[in-house]
Amino acid sequence: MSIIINEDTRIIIQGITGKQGTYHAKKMLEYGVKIVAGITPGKGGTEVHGIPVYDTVREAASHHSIDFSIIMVPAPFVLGAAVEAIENKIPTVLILTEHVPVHDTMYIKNLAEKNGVRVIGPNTMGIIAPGKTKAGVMPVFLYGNGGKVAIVSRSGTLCHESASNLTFRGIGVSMVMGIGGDPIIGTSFVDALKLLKDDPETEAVVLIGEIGGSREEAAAEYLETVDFGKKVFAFIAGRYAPPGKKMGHAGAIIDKGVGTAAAKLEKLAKAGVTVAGSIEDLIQKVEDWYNAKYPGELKKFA
Amino acid sequence: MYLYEYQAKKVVGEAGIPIPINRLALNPEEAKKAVEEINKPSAVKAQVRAGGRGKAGLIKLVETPQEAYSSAQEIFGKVHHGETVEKVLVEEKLDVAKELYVSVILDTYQAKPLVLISAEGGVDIEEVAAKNPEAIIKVPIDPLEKLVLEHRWLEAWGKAGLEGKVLTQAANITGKLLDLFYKIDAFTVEINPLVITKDGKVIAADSKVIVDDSSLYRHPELHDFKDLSTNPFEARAREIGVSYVPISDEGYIGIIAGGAGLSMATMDAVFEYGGVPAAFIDLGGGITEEGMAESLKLMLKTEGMKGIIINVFGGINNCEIMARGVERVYREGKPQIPIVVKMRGHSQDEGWAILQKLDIPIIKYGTTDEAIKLLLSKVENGKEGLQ
Repeated sequence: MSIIINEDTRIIIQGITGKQGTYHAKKMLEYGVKIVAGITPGKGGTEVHGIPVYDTVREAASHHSIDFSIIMVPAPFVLGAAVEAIENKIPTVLILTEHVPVHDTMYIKNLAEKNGVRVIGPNTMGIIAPGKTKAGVMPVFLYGNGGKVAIVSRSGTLCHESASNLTFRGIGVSMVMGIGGDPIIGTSFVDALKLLKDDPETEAVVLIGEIGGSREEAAAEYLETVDFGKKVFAFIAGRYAPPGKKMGHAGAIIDKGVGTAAAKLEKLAKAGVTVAGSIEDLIQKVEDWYNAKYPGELKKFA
Repeated sequence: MYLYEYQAKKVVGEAGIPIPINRLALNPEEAKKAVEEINKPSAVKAQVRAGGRGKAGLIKLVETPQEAYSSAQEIFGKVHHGETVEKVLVEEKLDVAKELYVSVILDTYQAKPLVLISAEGGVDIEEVAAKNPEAIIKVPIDPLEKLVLEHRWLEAWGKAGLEGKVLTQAANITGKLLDLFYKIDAFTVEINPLVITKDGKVIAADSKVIVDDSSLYRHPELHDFKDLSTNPFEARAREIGVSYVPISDEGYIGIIAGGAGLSMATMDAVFEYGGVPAAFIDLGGGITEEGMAESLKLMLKTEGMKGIIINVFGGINNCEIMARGVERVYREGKPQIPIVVKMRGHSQDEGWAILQKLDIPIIKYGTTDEAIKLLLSKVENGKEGLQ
């Protein structure tokens, strides 16, 4: 049993008839994901790769049991799609779309909390329980077939980078989640850590943060207050970022010395987290830990 | 998007909040004319984004139109934190009795608007927060609550010590500021100072507005304010649909990566192994063959470029499409500097095959660090990279 998703999770895709929706629906089907329906207003009654398409979530929900929705509609339509999923009490709503207006995310997050719905994202690559299922755009062959290390990251491509390099060295991952790179996100590092604390499949957690904001600091504070009981590693991208400069469209920025990589790493280290200076260093540190815990088990390939 | 003072004042004024009488001037002659029209002692204020204008001599108090002309002459063309003064705001000087503070900020951690009110205005609010936190009254707002009524602001400003007509004016302004925050999809709307004049009027003397770039598509009224960067590379990148981030003027390594996190991690690795990045391009999601080709061309055009790392994944993007973009550039003329590609993910075999035909070194497995080390060794060996 993985956290948030597993092989039984029944998924719908809002925006399934779009270019990205169609492509990734196919990739997910190939991975054995249980996609029960797709939603596109005006395309009700059609099919995508044999998946029935409905005009509304309500209609889909009247024909299928739904555990999870993936939202892949263009940014201006995310608010409507998410509110629709929340109103229909879909337990988990994952927003892949980037460039969602932040006020829309603010509304979605507050409405979801009021309705007991979990939101992941926006601007995320999704979540994968390798070997079981996935809800997202990650290339599955870079994620292996399961293991003991969980990865939680603001950046999707850094999920691909760290998961692939761990699996290339024979270290399997239990689940990988992109929490999203936007200023407001549904599920935070702390939320993920709380779930992973009680996940029997996960023995170590890799946190991949970025400069800006205070979510990594909050994770450090959480880890200081609980007996987490599992090994935690962390890497923060952007330690050489020039202050005051917006780093790409997702907009990580160091303002007035707040949110620097150094400050985040210091807080995490103080909370007992093993911090890494680079991706290579991160992978090496996880490998060292694994070798110490399971001597002789790793067989390298690639 | 960070608005200039004159733009921020315009939106604040249009929201029904009293602002000083002002005129925007593009040259000293217009500044002179502005003071003639205002017909009062005025301030001539350089329109630049960085703070510390007063100390830098970029705000001048003037009594006459002629003084405005000579002050403006001094200010125009000055460079403040890399930005040249091209506009000044000429504004009536207020008779200040007291300075207050009010803002609505987006508390991204709580996912709620937060209204901040203080009787101690005119200074950096973060200093007030550090020295005297009780002086700031915080009112969190539930974004699901559409109707926020005036009594809340009366209560808050009452606590801050206001009374009478000044209290009702400040409360009214606060309500309008929250409305404005929602209306323009703001990250921050701040009035500092909110001035009480000697004749008992409450006026927004200075304001700061930051708007969410992702929302600009639904704000045609803000399009004139769009941050038209003077850097032609950033401007071209915007046309292509990617982000170009200059890193160092002394840089000579170009980075093309997918996503802000990987872009930054690649930048870190270049520094870590002794190189200096000039810029990175974050491709974002959904990159096309043409977008990839144009991004590579843009990076090749960057001054001082000696080597380029393309560090991408086929996730939301596709390896074959990205490789075809690179191929398109090579067909038009083989780049004369070393390029290293680290690429894996969706359609990786197709992508690798295209790059192999072009004799581009590919890091198929391995980390970003390995790709950077390879690129830097090629750059150092100079000629080898030209093979």
